[in-house]
Amino acid sequence: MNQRGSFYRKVTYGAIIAALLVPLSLLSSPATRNSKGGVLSQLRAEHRLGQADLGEIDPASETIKLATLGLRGLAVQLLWNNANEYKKKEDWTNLTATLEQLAKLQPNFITFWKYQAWNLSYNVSVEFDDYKDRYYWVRRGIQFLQQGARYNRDNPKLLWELGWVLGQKIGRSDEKVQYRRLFKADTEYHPEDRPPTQRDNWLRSKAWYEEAVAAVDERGQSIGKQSPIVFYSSPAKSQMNYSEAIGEDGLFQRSVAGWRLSEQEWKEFATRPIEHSTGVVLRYAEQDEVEQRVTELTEQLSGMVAGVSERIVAQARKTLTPEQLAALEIPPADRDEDQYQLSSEAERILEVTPQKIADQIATEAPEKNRQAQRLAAELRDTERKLAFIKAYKDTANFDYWMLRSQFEQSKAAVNARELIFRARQAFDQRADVEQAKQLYEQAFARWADVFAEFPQLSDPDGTTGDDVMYMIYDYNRVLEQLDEEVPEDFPLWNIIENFDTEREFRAQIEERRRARGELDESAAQAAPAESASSAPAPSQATPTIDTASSAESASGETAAPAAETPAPANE
Amino acid sequence: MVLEKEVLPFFTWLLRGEGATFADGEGALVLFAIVVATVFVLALVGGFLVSLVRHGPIRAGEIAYNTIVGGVGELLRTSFRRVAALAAVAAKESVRRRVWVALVVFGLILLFASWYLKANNTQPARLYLSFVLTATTYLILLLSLLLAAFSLPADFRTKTLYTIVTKPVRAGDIVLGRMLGFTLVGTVLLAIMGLGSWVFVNGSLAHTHRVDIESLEALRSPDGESLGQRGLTSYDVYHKHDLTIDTDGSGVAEGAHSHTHQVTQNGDRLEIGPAEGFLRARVPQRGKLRFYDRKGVETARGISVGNEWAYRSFIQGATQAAAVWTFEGVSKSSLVEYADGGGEYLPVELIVRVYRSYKGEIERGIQGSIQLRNPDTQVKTNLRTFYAKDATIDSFDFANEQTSTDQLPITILEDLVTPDGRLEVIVQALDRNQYFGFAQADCYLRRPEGSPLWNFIKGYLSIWMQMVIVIAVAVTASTFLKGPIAMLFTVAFLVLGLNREFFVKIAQLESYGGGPVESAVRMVTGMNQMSPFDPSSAVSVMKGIDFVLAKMMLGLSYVLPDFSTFLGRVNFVAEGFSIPADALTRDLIVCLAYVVGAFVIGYFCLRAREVAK
Repeated sequence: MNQRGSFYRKVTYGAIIAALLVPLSLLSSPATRNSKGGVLSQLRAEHRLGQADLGEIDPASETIKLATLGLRGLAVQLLWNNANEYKKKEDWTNLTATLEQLAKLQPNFITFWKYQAWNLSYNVSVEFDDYKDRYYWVRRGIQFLQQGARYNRDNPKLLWELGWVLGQKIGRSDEKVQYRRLFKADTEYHPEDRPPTQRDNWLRSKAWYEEAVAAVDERGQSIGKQSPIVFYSSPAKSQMNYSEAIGEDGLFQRSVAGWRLSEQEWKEFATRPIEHSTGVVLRYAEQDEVEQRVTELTEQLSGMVAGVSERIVAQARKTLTPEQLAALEIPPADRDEDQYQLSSEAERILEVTPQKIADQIATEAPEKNRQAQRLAAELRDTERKLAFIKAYKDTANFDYWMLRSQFEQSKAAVNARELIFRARQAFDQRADVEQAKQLYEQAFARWADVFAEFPQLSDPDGTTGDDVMYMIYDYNRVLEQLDEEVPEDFPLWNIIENFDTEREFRAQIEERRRARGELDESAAQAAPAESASSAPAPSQATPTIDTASSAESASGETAAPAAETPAPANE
Repeated sequence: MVLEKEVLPFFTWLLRGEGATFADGEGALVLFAIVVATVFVLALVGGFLVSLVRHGPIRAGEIAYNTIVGGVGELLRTSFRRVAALAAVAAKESVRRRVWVALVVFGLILLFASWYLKANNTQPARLYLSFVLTATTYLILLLSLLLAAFSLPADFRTKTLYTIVTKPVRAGDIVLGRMLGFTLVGTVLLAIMGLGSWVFVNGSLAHTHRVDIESLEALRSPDGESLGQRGLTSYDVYHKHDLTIDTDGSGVAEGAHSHTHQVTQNGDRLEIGPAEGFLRARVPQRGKLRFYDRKGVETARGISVGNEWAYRSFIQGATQAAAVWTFEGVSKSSLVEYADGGGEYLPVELIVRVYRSYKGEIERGIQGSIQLRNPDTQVKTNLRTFYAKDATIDSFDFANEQTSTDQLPITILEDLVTPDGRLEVIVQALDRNQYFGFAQADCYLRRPEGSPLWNFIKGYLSIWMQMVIVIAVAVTASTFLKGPIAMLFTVAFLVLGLNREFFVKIAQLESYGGGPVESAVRMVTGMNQMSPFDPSSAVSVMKGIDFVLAKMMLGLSYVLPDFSTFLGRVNFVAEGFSIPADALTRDLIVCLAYVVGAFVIGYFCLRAREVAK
């Protein structure tokens, strides 16, 4: 009985196993030329999860995954810990070897590639003192990303990251001059047939960004959580950075061509539809059109019943409290906190919104209610769209870059930059102070032309003024050598007045203002008294200590740094 | 290289350890004696108690006495001939159990290693060496574990042992025979693996280049005389070299990826020779490091620049801060003759870790100075300045004839070395607000280099010693445990030994998350390692149990071998430094102590089993 029982049990188990094998076989049958295969196979194809869809198939990777006998997670955990430990103990040989092993174990884990490539390019590289060693590790990080991009074909995140590191790490570090030079000469990175003019980090960066955009646009990949503005504006931004960088290298004609292309690409970017997080699809280039439409709709709505807006304001005014009315009377700059709050409340009450107009029309002319409500709704949506466009434009700093790529092509700007370049060479390389001074003066005359041609550049919130200000500081260094000051007839005094953040020209600016009668005598007297009490050396023309010299003095024998740990060198 | 734990001279380690004198009781010998005495007392008391329960007090006393006296007598009468015969049996048994499979596995590992080891590393030799040495270690330890743990239990199961004990052999012979037999087999396997590794490493590193003819340019002196040529080699195995060639066509492909090549002229062709200098065995004479702070006050450590790894500490530039190494035993033999016979020099090597608090001049290194000083008379050599090569070994050859800071002619041997052979090396950073970081191992006097092959063998000797310890422990465990349990026991021993430092930290209740029970509670309840428990009676009980467990763990830690020290030896080979003789002797003594200890315990355990009486 016992034996028989055991036999039956085994038969039952066998039958159940056999029965389960049937659906399993159906579910997981592979795709062939004639059939789509089972559900699993179809899902794999649909979500492009097959190893061949993901990217390169590497026998070494597959072997090691199998060799861990299902303990891949454990192995990965161990290796990540080791990698962190090696990094901590500055064991770079073993760190890279561990990363190679991890790459084989988890080749399709995107964060791994991003994180560790970043680690190599940004964190490991700065541990070295020689800039050539630093560059080596920056490039190792880039190559690591490229390896990741091969394992994960068309992955926009990795492709974009490549663009970022190639552009920003090489082109924006403190060592950018050295890095860009080494990158151009890097035979290990560039294929042999790449022409020297193409061996620029910003152009390579742009190429990878374009790959990333193509992966999304043409091959249906998702950009995930990344901001579409940043993602899609990147290729054009790299083009602009390229144009700027080669201008700094002294290649002005190529720079102009670069800016021309930048402008064109920036305009193309403006026509690209971008989906706002609320689902509204917008284009930068539509701004004028949308503004126009807002005006039209506002006119239509308020024109439906004559004088409706005025009546809304008049009615609302009656509901204001005497305090609110009084607060409104005070000029905005003179309001205190309470008055500011009261006036804001009042303004909110007095504001004429499309909905208020529509509601007013409904009471005054009920037969037009339906049309008014429709117009009000459309106006609200259009206004919202306009606000989104403006906000997104701010995010990309769109107007600045458009203006920049336009003015950089102007003859005056090219001329001005060339003269500045030659002036710096004369001063830094040949110590020819006189010639440097002359070249600077010619350059600033040309800059004045640029500001005249593009008046928006003088906007105190813009950055071009800042850029020019640094040129003026350099010019001032030259003048100091000659015991001279920036002359009264200097054409860019307005720039100095607006952008002298280092306050090198404070005394002269005050004098000019006083001469113009903008500064009253009491303020003028208070200023020197204040500076005399705060400045250690009253004889100095500019009592404010600039950051460089204050760092220098803090490091002196007398002033010991308070902390045991000095601040790390900033990357 | 990084040397986190100082290698003490052998006799210092043996007699006083980290303590000041023998009486401090930190010497290895004292600790060993304490462990032996403790184990002896525990075994005696344990054995007596068991006999007491089984046979009553008088008989128990008799048994205990007989065991000790008989046992010691028997151990002393261990016969080498019988042991050798049993060892031969154990070796034969191992071969029957197909130990050669390990060699096949090893061969496979080497065959496919290149899939996972990229030669684009700047220190490929280090990578390959640490790979083969680590792979061999784990493989041989696994093999010896499996061999040794299952052998005796299998004999018990198949009753083969009963036939053996009928012969005139003693329990001690059986235990020692097994240990020796397996060690023999392991040694042969290890030797083959070592040979394979040596061939693999050399084969993997071997390469040559071509001269890149287009890159060659003539070097001329200002008056137009030819000085040879300069250029590049071809790009192979992820690197190329700068070439300098003399007028006679001989030259050198300069250091890249930690090696060089010789260039020779063959007819009208320039030929590049094989890679040289990948495998090294530097022999450093190390000194003691102390620091001076920015005001010139002596301190044990420099300042921290915020690194998580506190191995190095830093000195501030353009202040009185300095790192000072004191070397002992400096004599005429420390000096080396110049190649051209023009006098002698003292070779000093230095690794500087640079820390910049601001970028400064990017293309220029941070400047530092190095001086020699007499610790007694304070006579110093003139300031010798250098640009720091960050984290790289930099050589400074000090000619015997020097000029003092008072501009007087002096010699190293007569004026700078004290009569008892001491000499100081002073290093300072010269750039304001830039820092140099040092650890004790970062400066040494270079002695004549050893043979890389012999160093490689020494590395394998370290692996061999680990193997012997594992075999001894596994055989001992198998005298009183079943095969799988004996294996688990040895694995536990091995794992704890590999992580001894962590284990001791828990035993001293210094690790985050508390003792074993507290950690378990934190894990199960998902509680942060740092947050304290609210006081309650349950928490007190938990802490109480942990306290007892921790004490037991601390006791156990005294008998745990520190396998990480052995693994550390392998690092010497990978980094191109000779394993110090002090370290090797010390390891051998430790290994011997384990074998003897395990043998004695194994003997008594086997003797206690009915079968072997």
